[in-house]
Amino acid sequence: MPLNVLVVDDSAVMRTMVIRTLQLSKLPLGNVLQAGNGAEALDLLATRPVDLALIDINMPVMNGEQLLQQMRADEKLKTTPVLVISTESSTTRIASLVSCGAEFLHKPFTPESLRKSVQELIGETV
Amino acid sequence: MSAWAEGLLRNAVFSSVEGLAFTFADNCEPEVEQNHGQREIAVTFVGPLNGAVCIAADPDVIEIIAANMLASDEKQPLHLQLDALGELVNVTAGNLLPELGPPGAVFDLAPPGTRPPAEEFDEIARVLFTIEGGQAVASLLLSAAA
Repeated sequence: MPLNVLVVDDSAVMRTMVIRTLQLSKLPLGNVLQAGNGAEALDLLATRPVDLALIDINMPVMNGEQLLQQMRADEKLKTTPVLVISTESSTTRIASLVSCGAEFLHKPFTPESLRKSVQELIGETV
Repeated sequence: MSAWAEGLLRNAVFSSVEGLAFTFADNCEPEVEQNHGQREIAVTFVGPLNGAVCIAADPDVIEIIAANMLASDEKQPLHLQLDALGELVNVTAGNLLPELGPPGAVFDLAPPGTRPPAEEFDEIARVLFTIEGGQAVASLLLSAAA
């Protein structure tokens, strides 16, 4: 079943890298949406729900932590699987993200590590 | 300058170049430093320490970084080249700060931008390096009040 994905990062280059890596990982991709910050992501999600959101933390306007909190507070979005992809190394902050139901992947990543993280998040059906 | 901080910065930037831009950084002696119209991006951070990580690089180095990250042989537009350099600085800061701060420290990083005012920061470490023959320099700045 195709996986509809939202990639949220203020870097267009990083969004491209994430999408290309998803494609290389041979995941069954459906629609791939992109947003440059958390506010843009929420606008998209209001009308186009996805099966998986991959989000950066360090972004202008609305960062990834705020986006995750807003998603978890939204009845329609609270169960959407979220993979945070970030340079963050603080175990305290990573634990906080995981407690909100997100998985965490450190930048830079490999196709193997991304696929593994997505599979753990979505399940072995992908 | 701190040799300890310089070693941490060197490790952070070299591993970031390899992991993110799929190429290798080489050491470069300070006496051969040249500036061929370098462009610079900084990521400032606040936490137990306040400061910034900056990388300035020759135009051909930035082209290589962007092309490698995008897996493209074509020359990328300048805004994407600078975007790619910004991500390299971001990842370098992410690799460096856990080594620099106390265990468990939480730092907030700003999105990539311009180098902060010199009067507010001291340059603690500076690493000159090359990528495929072009030069670049990474700097670690810490708040003068630190």
